[in-house]
Amino acid sequence: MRIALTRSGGFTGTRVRVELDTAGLPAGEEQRLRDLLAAAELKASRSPAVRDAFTYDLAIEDGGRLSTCRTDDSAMNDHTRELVDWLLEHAPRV
Amino acid sequence: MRRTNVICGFLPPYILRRLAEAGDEGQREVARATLDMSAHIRGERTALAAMAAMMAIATGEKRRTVYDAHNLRSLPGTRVRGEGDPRRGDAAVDEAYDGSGRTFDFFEKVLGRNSVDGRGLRLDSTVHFGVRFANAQWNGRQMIYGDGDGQLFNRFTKSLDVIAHELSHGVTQYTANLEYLDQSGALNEHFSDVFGILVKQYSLKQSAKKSDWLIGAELLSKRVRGVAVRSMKAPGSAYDDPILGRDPQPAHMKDFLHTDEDNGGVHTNSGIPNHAFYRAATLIGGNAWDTAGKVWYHALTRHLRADAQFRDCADATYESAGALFGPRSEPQAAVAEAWSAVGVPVSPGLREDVPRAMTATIDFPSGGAELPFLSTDEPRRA
Repeated sequence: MRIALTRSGGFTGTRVRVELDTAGLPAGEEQRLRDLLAAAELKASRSPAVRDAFTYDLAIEDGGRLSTCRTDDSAMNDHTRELVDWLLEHAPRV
Repeated sequence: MRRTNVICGFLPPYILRRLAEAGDEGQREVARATLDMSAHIRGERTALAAMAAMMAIATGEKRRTVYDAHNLRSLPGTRVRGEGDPRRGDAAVDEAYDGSGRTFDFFEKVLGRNSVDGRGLRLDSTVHFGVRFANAQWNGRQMIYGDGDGQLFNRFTKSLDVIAHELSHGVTQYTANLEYLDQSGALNEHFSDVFGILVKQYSLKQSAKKSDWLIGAELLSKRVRGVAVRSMKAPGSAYDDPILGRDPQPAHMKDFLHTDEDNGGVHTNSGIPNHAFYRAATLIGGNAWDTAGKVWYHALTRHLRADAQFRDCADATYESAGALFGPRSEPQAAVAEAWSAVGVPVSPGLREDVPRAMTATIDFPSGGAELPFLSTDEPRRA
């Protein structure tokens, strides 16, 4: 499974992109990531009234299937936030 | 809460109204709910009367409240400082309080506006929001500030212009309500930077010439190679750092960034109108809030529509300069020159300083054409 996350916008407008291929991960960490993904139940959601929110673009390629999701800081659920925070901390920046 | 509710049931409406305005967080909520409910029983006309009474109390009064989220994400958090309360000794709390006060004063004294909505809206701020949250936001109702990431960014209340930027998103919401996407979104960002820098200059009593024209100068940690988050004087030059990257802002239309990230690059392409404002203000000279600031405010509140593009903003500020300072006045000429310099020239048909026969394809009546005119400050939510 390959996963890419781009965070854009926010007051500072600075862009951060991380990418991860689970093939290189220890088994425990890959499972942790899969658990986070399953819990997040990714859905696109935006909060229209918020200004200066971070925008998050997730792309996940798993077994030849590509899924993408766009959400923002205010609209995302706690599980998605956990996933995003985990990726920003653990996945290499590109 | 339940106990308060019972007490509120015995209170006469004028006390409830007062509580709804000036009580603590819990009192306000319960008082409002009680008022709403009784008003509902008495009918809509009475509800409107109660609203009017509440607004009468509000007029011209600064009503700030600062809440502490204690690094959680629930809003508004614990109320820690209200209007007139002494300093808390917590930098974020006191900066949010002082900064929103300075912004309120600027809008009132310089632009004649009573708070964000023009009707004395309460100014609520939440600080210490989230964990290592390197951002500040306006969520449609209040300001939200993070403590920074402890690496690249300091706490987001540290720059006065950032606080004024967030509050100004509220002003835009209640006026032109510029759609937060592509060019209209970049204009939304632009107006927040304009009022952000104006509040900073007004607060420092600094002329257009003396200002550094930097947005968020205090946000960057010492580790970052850079001077600020944005520069209106030289967009694209604010930082160039191994981790943060390089300031991506363009200063000219030819470098407009086409992207679908950040709502179409709203925080990037704002560099173009930002630079036009800087040029207009410095061409005019003196204090930017006296002339260019008033022109831009006039354009935002009286001319621009939610779907405005850069060209519409050039036209609106040109017309506003004509309305406020006279056709062919120096400020109007400066506005035209500034927009030309960033590659967004004012529509030829509007130009009053160029002979009509050479440019006009549409015959406007004397005195210049009027753009769609919206006179009210009613919220225009999309």
